[in-house]
Amino acid sequence: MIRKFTKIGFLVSLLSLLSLSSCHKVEVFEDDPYGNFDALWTILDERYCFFEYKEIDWEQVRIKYRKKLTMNMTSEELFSVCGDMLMELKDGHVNLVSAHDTSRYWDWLYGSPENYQERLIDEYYLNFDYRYTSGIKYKILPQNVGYMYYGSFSNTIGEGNLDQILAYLSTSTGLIIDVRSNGGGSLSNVETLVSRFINQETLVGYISHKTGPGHQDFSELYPIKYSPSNRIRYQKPVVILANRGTYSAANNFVSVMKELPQVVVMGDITGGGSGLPFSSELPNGWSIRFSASPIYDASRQHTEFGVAPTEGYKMDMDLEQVGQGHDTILDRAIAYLTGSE
Amino acid sequence: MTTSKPLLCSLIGIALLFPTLLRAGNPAPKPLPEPLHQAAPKPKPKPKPAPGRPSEEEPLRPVASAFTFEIGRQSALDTYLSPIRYSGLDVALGYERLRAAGFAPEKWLTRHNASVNFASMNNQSGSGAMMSLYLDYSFAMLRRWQLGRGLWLAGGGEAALTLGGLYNLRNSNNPATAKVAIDLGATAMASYHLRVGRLPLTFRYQVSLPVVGAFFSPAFGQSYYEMFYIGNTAGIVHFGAWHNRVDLRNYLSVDIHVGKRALRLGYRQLMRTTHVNHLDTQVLGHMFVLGISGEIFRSAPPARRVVSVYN
Repeated sequence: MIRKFTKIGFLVSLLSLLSLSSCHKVEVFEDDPYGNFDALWTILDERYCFFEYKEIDWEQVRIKYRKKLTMNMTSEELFSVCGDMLMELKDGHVNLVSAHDTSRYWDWLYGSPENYQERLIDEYYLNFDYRYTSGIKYKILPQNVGYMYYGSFSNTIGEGNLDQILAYLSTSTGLIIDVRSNGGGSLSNVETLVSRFINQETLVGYISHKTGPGHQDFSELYPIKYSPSNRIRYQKPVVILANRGTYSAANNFVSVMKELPQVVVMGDITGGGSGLPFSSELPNGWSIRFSASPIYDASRQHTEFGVAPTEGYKMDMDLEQVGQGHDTILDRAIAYLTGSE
Repeated sequence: MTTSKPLLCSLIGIALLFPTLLRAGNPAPKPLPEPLHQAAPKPKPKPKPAPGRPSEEEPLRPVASAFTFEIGRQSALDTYLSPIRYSGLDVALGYERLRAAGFAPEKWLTRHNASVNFASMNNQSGSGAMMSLYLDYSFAMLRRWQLGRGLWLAGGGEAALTLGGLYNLRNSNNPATAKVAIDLGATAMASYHLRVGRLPLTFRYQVSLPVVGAFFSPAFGQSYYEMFYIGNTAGIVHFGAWHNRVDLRNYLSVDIHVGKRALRLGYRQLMRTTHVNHLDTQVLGHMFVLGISGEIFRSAPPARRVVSVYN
């Protein structure tokens, strides 16, 4: 009997050993300049979602920047090399965060006219007298046009607040939703807002995700559908104002609203940023944020580099008119909604 | 109005802690008449049971319970969140319930285990923090082989449910990953009850190894926004076996009996690993166990046979 149970004990031990040996090995990088660089490069190599779309040869990028490493380089020097490497991705959602700095790519913004001046609107159109709730400034302009400025999709829009806003603006002949220089935030706020402008379930885009570390390992596109709100919905013409600072969730908002029949988008091409960002980290503790999951528009097209205004409505602000208190983009939107264009 | 809830909670608490008290027909609790490894009394002429009363042959099967507090360290790696391993303080509360089975009390026993486990961890550089929370429940049925006085081995099957997750405090759209699993597996126990001087001790070793089951995992780069907000939940439940999921629990304990109670000291090791969708999770915990155990609510008339899980 004892021998029988000795065998059972041996079997249990064997199973335990088998289980331990079956653990999958995870690549570990050293906490030195080369290890941290390789960790960063590998994280992006396996998880970044726009290599194919942007036609980036990531292996060549590694060769180009790894040459610049030395074992004795300082942390700031390493950060500089890594930050320069990340610029190759041309992606505002890619940030390397250390204790002393955050790398960022904003070239698309710096190379374009600003096309929005908050003070100009506040002073000459709102007369510093407007309502403000859920991060939204709103007022009925003298031409009986409703105006909403939403500066960040990080500000949660309360349904009750939105009821109040739309009820107040309901007597207007049309509505301007200004999302210029809106750097994004939560996609759930996009749905909250869009649901007040649709009357049936609407296909608004598609989402995909990486299924493996290969640059082409993606899932099938999955449709994103929004349902209409069962609360107050705005039924009159709408103009969306956008500029290059309209980024990420705001970019998504413009791509969704542009598809609606009663909506016209005016201003500049949005800034893009259609990849849902994930985070990871390096052995030295630096954090890396990157685009991981692409979101497409309703036509299955990428909007990573922006959404163009409605045809015929792309324009820049006339800076000569600014001194006279005119935002010419907003002026055109008012003219469009009042039929005086 | 204000007293109904506390009263109800008290009744539920009593029912959980003193199940034998609430069972109709059981004798009132009395002090333990004999040491824990009380031998079965010699057979006596069988009196015919009165109609409607349980047979005299039906033994008393006291519940051996243990309430434990555990403290130790956890090391966690989850590549959905980060390629960097985190480690830190791990604390847990556990409950264990052993009892001889009703249908063959000498040969079979049942075991319930429940625990809640929380760990607060940091990465090596100290720049990131992660927390883990696990709720575990398992039910096992084990065949027992008595090898000698106070010594027995047992082996059997176990069904387990795990709910929990890991939460990385600085991630953006991948801040957390849920851990949900149901398993069927193998388990084994060894128990040795002895006296050192006048002090009764019970040494136990338990091992659990899930074999097959199902568990949740997102795809490699899939966000929880896509799964649970947009609704793309296809393929998030996986068949689990040793090729993609290995959990292992080892538990070594000693019960130091003092009167009717026992002080439990022990060591528990938990390993949870998955490798699916190119994602790895490796969670390892080493815990020091401190608790109260014993057949706390045991009572029996002198003539009644007792099948204890300590013998």
